[in-house]
Amino acid sequence: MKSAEIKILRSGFYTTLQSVPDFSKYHFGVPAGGAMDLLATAGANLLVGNDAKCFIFETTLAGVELEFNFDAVVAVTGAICEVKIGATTHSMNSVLQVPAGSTLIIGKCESGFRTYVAISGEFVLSETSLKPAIFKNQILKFIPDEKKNIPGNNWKPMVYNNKIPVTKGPEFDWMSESTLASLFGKPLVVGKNSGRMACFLDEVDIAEKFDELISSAVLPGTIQLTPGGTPIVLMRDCQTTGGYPRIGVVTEEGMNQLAQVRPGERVVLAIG
Amino acid sequence: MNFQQKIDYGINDRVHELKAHLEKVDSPGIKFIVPSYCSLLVGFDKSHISYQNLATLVSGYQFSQIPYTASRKFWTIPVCYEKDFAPDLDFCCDLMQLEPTQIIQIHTSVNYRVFTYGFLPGFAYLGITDQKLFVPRKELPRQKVEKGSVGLAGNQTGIYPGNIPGGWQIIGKTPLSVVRNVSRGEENQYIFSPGDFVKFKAIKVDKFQGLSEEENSGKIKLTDFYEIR
Repeated sequence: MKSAEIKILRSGFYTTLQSVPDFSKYHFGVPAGGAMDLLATAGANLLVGNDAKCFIFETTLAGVELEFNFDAVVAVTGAICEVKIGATTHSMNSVLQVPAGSTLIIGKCESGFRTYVAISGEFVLSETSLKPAIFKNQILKFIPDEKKNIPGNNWKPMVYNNKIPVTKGPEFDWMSESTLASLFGKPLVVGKNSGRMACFLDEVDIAEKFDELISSAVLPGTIQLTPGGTPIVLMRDCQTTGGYPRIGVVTEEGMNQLAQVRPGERVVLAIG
Repeated sequence: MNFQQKIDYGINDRVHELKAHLEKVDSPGIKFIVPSYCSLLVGFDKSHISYQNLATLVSGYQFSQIPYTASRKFWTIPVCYEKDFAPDLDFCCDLMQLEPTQIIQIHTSVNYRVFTYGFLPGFAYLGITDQKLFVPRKELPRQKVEKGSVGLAGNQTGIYPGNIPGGWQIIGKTPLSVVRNVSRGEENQYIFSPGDFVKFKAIKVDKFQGLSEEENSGKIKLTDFYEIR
């Protein structure tokens, strides 16, 4: 029997395979990685009956087109987009059957930034923590799980908004009242260079100058303030140590929200 | 958990003492521990241990009166400092007002502590270098620093784990790979552990080439390069 394969007909803007973050080699400088929107990832895996650690496709803005040579059970979650199997339109956040030989088409996001595609079963993957981007005509080997109990459509997606909950970081007290007022509770623009490593927040008016720290551990979610006054939220592929003051930490819920914000859009940091 | 903010062996000893303590407690809520120069990050699972209980566990620890000594590896890493491997040695000589032999002598005379990893997978920050070797990073990072290159930056020194862009001043190169191939049965993927000590040993080009060949053919025995004290 021919092995199960998924062929990438269109790779979109930036598509990777992601799972949950892995901190086991963090103290050796290895980023934890993992899907940007962990809630959408968990939902997609849950819908198709996968273990929470199964790898799934993370697509960015432009979607992806996948051809299956086996009968696949899939679910699409995260940023809202059109989902088609062949020529027929289907719903997101539900269990879909893709017959062997047909194509799953994920369209451009209508709102949000990252869409997730889980397939019942497991990819055959090499042992590297940072997954390279998927490219056109690439063929991915897959081990489908046909016997699983599919729990059904009982998963409710989160409602995304632009309010990002933040807790205090170790150097929170370094900030003056005026810096606090510039940073929290007002719209900040997500910078153009934002991605899986970091989210830069632009158009912030901070005149205060900060000292650097002796390099200390940072985490996905850590908000650093650069000497130039730009706040940087570290995202899933961030480095493990940093020397800028860590003024806040975006909550897990906030990280999922932030994963769905496009560069150029606005967010509000809310200290809790 | 922040200690007194200073790059200092004694303070770093305390960081590792607390780390060892938390590992011994073996709370199921503690998921990972990342030591740095003078701080310790503890990743925990709220469903197993509350922040309050963890904070009590950390703040309740009584540090020992005597200096803490963990069982550690003391590495001797061979480095070739000759021109082809040391593109920034001339720059460093001018800046430091030292001869190449003096820089090599000073660089190889210190047991450096592995303070922390960061910047890239497998990049260990080693310190503290002698004041005479203090040097800023390059203004423009080099597009490609070769794997094994040994660099200086501030009062730190380090070994590049792969061919990558970087801004440290490169004064030599080791034939040893600091990232190992675990699929070939090697025990640790990253050779140094935070808290280990590293001393550099100057070697000639022919020795470098000999060791490179051994490394490439998988004949290198890492146990020849460290002792446990």
